[in-house]
Amino acid sequence: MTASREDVRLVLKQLDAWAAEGARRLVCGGEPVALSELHIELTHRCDLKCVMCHHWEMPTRLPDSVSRELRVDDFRRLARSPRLRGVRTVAVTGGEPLLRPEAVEIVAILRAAFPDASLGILSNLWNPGSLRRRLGELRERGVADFWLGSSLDGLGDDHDRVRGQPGAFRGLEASLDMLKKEFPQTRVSVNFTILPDNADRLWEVYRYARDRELGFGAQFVVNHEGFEAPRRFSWSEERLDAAAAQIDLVIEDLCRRHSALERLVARPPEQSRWLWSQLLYWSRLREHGRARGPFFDDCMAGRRWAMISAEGDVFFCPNNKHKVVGNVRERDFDAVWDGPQAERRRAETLPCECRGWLNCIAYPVVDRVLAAALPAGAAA
Amino acid sequence: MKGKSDPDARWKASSDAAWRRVGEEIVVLHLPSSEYFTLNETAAFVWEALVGGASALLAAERLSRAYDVEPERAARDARALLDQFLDAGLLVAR
Repeated sequence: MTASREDVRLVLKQLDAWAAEGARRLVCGGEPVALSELHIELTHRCDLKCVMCHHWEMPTRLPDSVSRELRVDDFRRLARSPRLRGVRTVAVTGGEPLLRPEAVEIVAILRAAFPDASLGILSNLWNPGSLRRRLGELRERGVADFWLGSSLDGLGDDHDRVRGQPGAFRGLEASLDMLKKEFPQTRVSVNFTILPDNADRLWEVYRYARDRELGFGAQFVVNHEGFEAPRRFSWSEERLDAAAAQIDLVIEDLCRRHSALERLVARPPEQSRWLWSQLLYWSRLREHGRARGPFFDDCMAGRRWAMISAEGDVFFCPNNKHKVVGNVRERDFDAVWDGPQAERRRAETLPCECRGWLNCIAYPVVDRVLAAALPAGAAA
Repeated sequence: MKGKSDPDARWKASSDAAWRRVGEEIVVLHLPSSEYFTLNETAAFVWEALVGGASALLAAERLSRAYDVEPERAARDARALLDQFLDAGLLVAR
């Protein structure tokens, strides 16, 4: 079944109705939100120089940056925190986390502490030799069940320009080829950061990822408050139009490939919640680029995610990384999480006035709203 | 068996058709061909009346009342819609 603009219109119209209904039901009372996701930066060190990133310059700007990184024992202590017992997803990030000499040991600690969690490593994947060594070491430690996330901000030179490194795209491709041959069970996803410079490249990168069977996501660049990146980004109407047109192509493709209208009309809707999540994410992403939103009353920040910087600062959301609630080198995680500073920050997040729309935050929000509108086994 | 021209005939959605209301519209999908039909508000009203067991005559009366349409006009519109639904294989006789 081919997808047309009319298909997309009808599907998105229904999704909007479900989103509104789900949000309404959550306001009236939903399940309490438990801490279930942990994001940990291992280091600010990185061997790329992405134009929108504050990490890679920090070891130069702050000479003690590396010495202030959490030690291996800090991770052992963190992993024992009772508050983290319900964690179902762990994302290891940076900088480039695999540059850290103790990366394998730290990941092994986290895997042992959270044996049933979805474990992801966000790596730039640009050095296949180094990547092979690290993954081989993990395998020897018995850590095989994890996924890899990376960035893909264009094809060829486009990617290199954003990553600040000639050859970055070639390196990424070589890593992908290596992974397919030598670590075929490891799922890989890539994320496209939408910048004014590459806004009209989203569709070609999406197709590249689709054709290589990579997971794919996209989000608009964030000008992080309190952190200095090489560039800050502003948008012209023409660039926003370009981004919107590219997002429309992705939405149409998702509708076509997965027969969205047929699923909507002829099958129980809750069977396709995974597709509705994606479509709702992308349609709101399109609106987010136009400075619209916030889209939901409750983003669950301060409850669902614990994010920890390389130095041990705890924060609730990547959009508000500067709003630190405590440090796990100075105090146990539980004390930080339950402390007065954290409570104050939580109160500030409700009602939600933040306009963030990042994959890691938005998808769980969307999933929760859709689950409220379409509980399993219900007709809607 | 009551035929297409019988104003009192009753109808039901064909097993080849699946449908869903999306706001004020209804989408009807003809499963074998994957062709779909988007019904505007009044066509959706007539559809739901017919698949709910109303005859074309009764559907027209309800349409006339609900949308303040002249009875003759409502009857023509309901008849025309019924014909389209039948020709597309979306409705069958009860």
